[in-house]
Amino acid sequence: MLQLVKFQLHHDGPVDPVLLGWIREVLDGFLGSGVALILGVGVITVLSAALLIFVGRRVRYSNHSQ
Amino acid sequence: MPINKKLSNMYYGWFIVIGLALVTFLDFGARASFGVYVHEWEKEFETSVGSISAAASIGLVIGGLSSPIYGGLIDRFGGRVVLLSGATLTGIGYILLSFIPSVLFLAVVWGCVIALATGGISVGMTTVTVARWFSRYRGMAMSFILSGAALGGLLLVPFSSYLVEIVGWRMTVTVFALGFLIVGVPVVWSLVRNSPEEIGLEKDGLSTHPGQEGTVVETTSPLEVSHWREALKSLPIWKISMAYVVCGVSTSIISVHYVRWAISEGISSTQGAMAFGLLAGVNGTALLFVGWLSDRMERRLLLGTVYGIRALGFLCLVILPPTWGLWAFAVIGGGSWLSSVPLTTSLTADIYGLKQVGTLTGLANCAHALGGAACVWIAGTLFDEIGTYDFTFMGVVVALIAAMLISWSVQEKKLSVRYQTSQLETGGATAS
Repeated sequence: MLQLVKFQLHHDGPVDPVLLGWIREVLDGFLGSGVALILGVGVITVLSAALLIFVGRRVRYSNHSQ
Repeated sequence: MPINKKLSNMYYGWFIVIGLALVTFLDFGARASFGVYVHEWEKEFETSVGSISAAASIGLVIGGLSSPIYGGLIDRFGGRVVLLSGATLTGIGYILLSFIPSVLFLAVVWGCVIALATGGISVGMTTVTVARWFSRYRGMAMSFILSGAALGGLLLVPFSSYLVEIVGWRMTVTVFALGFLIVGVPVVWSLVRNSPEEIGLEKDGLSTHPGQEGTVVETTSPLEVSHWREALKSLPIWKISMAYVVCGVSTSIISVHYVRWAISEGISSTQGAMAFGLLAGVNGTALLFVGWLSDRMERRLLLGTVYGIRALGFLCLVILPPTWGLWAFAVIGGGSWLSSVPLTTSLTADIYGLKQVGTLTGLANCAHALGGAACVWIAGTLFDEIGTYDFTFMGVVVALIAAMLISWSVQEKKLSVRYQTSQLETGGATAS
């Protein structure tokens, strides 16, 4: 059962708690508390989605009219 | 303005691809973050990893079994409604997760609600949706979506790890819920349409007017099916699916046993983490390259080569000293990690047509997931018995070589729609 759950934890991306601990050891040296990463990823995700929707709708009408 | 004009002339299908890559980014990141919460749940619910395992295992089974059902729904109703429902329910599922009081509710919410909901926005379903928008650039389109998955695993797991420390796990899963509800749902709602014909376009943005530059002449492949059961009577679907099961076996075994192998070989934690980062980075880059290449050569040759390269990566783990093997695997294995997914889906669509590609891809995904899970268990048991992964990895090398040969044996030129007569007329002249 434990093997199965480990598979479940990883089959969408090989990150388990131990590996995550290893990654954090490396990242902490660069990112400190990680606030910059959280804000950066969050803001970029939302802004890129908004931009994508805005431009995408314009392109759809443009493609359609052509 | 020139940029505006360039954007206006861009084929709309690419916006669907970018939108679905963003949804996949969120989905993979959110699901891969499960590992971040395990210790928190252990403490808060005063439970064991085994109980959390049981909850997650239910999700594994339900997620795998739901894949062909979602595929069938896409074949019948189109991708828009399935993806929209999947994204909405996933957001609701993560909100429910933020309120769970015990591990029993974890089993219900993660194992049933979220596993079922995320099945609707899995890569199998997103790639099948874009398959209807592209023919010539199908491989590139699908690979781009998969690169969202690679980036999601790489960025969002550390993201949630830091967030848990600052605001706790309940608020972290709420942030993911909001991500699906204020990013995922609007993106799917605004951008995704079932097919280019629905808004008066053609696949790849080409015209249907005879004699016009870049005109598409619709062709069908000899094995095009109107029901998925018909496909099971032919050999290529079995070959593609068998190779895909090996894909599941190889990726799952290394994914689950990577840490255990590294510890058993005396690899330091810093090296292990950096090699993982390198693998993820190479994976994302290689995906785009393989996608681009797959639209310019036979996909079966590329698919077989991807399996062959992965076999070489596993061989490095066995025959090289551990540290060398680790770095060699990060580069070689990373180059082939997710590339088999878009190649498999696009090859299936090329041979069997688009009417039933959702169900066929769903069935292959189900076999991929369950076959992988079974072999993960076998690999763990074998390690417990003999104390080494060498035999397991050698077994994977043999299976991957078999997958390579099987993939190469698919008669793509004879059966794929890409090679049926002249598909593209360019101003009167034809090109195949």
